[in-house]
Amino acid sequence: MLFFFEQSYFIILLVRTTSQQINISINTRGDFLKLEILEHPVNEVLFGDRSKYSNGILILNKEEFSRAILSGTYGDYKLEIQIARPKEDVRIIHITDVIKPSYKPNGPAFPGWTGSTDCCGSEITHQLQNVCITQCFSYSGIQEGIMDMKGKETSYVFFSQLINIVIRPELLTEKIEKKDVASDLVRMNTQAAEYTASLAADSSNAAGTLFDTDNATISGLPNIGYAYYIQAQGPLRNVYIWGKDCTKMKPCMISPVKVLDGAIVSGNYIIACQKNPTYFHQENPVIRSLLARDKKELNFAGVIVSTESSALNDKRENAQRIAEIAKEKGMDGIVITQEGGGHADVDLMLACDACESAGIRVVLIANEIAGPEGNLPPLVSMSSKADAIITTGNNDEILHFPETASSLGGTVMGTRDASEEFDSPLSILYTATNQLGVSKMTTKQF
Amino acid sequence: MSNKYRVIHFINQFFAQIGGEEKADTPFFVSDHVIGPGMAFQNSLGADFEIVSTFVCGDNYFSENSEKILPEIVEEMKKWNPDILIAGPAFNAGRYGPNCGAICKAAQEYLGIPGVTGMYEENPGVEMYRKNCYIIKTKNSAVGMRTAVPAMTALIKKIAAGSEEPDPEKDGYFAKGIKKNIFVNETGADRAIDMVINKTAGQPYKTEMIMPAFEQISPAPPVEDIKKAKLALVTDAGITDKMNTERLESARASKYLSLSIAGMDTMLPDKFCSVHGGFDTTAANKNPNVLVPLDILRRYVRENKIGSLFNTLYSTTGNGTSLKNAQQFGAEIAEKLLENKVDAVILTST
Repeated sequence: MLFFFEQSYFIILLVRTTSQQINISINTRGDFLKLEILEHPVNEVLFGDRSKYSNGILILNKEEFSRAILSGTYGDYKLEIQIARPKEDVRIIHITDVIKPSYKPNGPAFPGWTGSTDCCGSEITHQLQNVCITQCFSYSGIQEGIMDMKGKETSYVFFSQLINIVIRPELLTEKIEKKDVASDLVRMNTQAAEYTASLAADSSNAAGTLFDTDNATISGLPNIGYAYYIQAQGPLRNVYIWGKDCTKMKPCMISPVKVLDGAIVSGNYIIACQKNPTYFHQENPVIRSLLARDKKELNFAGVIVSTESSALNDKRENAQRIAEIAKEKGMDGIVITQEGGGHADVDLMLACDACESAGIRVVLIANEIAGPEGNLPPLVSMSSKADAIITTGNNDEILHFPETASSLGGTVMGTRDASEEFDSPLSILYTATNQLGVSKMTTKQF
Repeated sequence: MSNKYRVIHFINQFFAQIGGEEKADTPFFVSDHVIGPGMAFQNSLGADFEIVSTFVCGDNYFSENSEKILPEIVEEMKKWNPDILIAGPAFNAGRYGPNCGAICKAAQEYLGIPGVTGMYEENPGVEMYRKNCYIIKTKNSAVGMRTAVPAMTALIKKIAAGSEEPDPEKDGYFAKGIKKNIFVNETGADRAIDMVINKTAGQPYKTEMIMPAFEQISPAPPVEDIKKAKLALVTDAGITDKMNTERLESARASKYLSLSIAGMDTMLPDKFCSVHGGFDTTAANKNPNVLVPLDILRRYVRENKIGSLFNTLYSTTGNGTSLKNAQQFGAEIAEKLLENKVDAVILTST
């Protein structure tokens, strides 16, 4: 899938997209009809006088970077920026979101956040590889995550293998509405991601993937779609599409290429282990895997995006609508993912029932809350039709976290020193049981 | 003392060659000999293991007196300083199986040593004790001894060596109902797409999550006369006093609170708030009555629509809280409600 510029070696991913999207994208320039993602490798991140990227080294001028991050926020923030590298003896705490540095020369990399014009899903996108922006923030009513950069716990967290540019805003404004704080957090993260990737825009040392789109199918292969539940339960627990909060959105199709190109941004900060950070929306593994197998093992029949409403009638309606769209699109099979637990389990099961009743074969991806011993019911809602479930692990399994030399993102967790050793359920470990199926973890009966 | 692993073997009267059904009331006794199937186990286990004693008890005597004799058996086991217990195998014997399970469970609980037994899948002992010990899958009669002994021995050696985790599929025992996180070769997303391709094509696939049967709770009988009834408020909405003095968790609650609402006509936002981490609490914190309708219930009491209101509000956070904790909170709260002669509860969830 990758090619190097020098060799001009192309492998094209063909994607079947749909004409119905919640936001009609208009390509105003016309010279690119395809999306090309150029990934620039980063081997080291340092601070320096002038921000630049060359030969795999990213240098950041802290003042300039801070200004870019804080531009246009509602509140005033004190900002701390630090680097955590793989194998360093450090623990990062209070993690709210992780985002992949991404920049589009001809438009916003995160439409609705870093600009309003939209060439999302087309033209060129520059991304930084092997590095992520990790935002740390403490606030009442959210459940931030932690990750270690060294030791056994790193195997649970994808980001422990990357260079983390840790940005830690501290709110200085006393009177500020929660929704404005929520918006600021996403604004800061998307601006940080766009700024860092923009530094590589002139570099030619990139591996690229070209995403082309067509509606062709190969007969004899199953039509497989994807139903993508996202959380939309108010400020600090919202996921945004094109910058809009999705609380009132009805299920609809979304182009998979647009998802990979920054259309979906996370502002959801609850239950650290089971949330889908922006990075994993940008890299959605279900979409990636469907694209990779398109026209070989299956025909990729499209992505339906839906929210997990907090009202039961809306949950039923959304599930029914997902099944209707899937049927309209001729899907034979569908993978359904959730975000969050409890409420989200109900949506997952209702959608499973609705699709199976419509004759569409369903596979669900879910994590478990099965208790420390793994002997309790894994989900709060169940259906006899849910006979094909991939588990991404049990939140409740107890892990031992060793002492670390230092911590980033804060120094205190609850009442204890963040670098002390302690035992805790897996649930505090950021994205450990991610429900998009990022990791290779599962559960096994003993 | 030798370096051998010390093994106790438990059998019934039949395998001890005392007799059949007519001897099923044989009382518990201990022999320092290797008896019956013990011979086969000793041969198969080899020189690193020694069966130091055989515990024998008649099927009926054990099941009819288990409460009395289990403590006796435990004390007797302790004298032999064992490393492991073998029971049976019991095949499809309906009393012998549960007896083997019970003694294995006791060995684990009171001596901290593993118990290994063997049963046929329909033996009632499987469902009763699979969580407490290793039960190797056997045939339904003693004809299966020839395959049961090596399977049980192989597992015992694996447990003793301690280098590899026992595995129900590889080692042939009934899964104990505990689950652990493990890493496999494919990501969850890739596994999901493999599975949906197979499912769509009508090919076999195996779910990774088995749906449990949920406990069915039958509702209490209706309140006879609501105008005389004493009502209580219970919630999982994460309500605390404004300072959260008892530090109720915003998720994964380890406790519930007993909050006094005596003398209060309404849930004042400067007295109460919600620390629940699973929903947007903005509206609830402006008016906590939307979480528990204290304002309306007080009015109903004044208007004689209900008898009275219990002056304690029980509150926990129902956000990722384990079933075990929730069951415990529920039982304790129910007991307190009964003690205070509460007739009905308004249970609000968020």
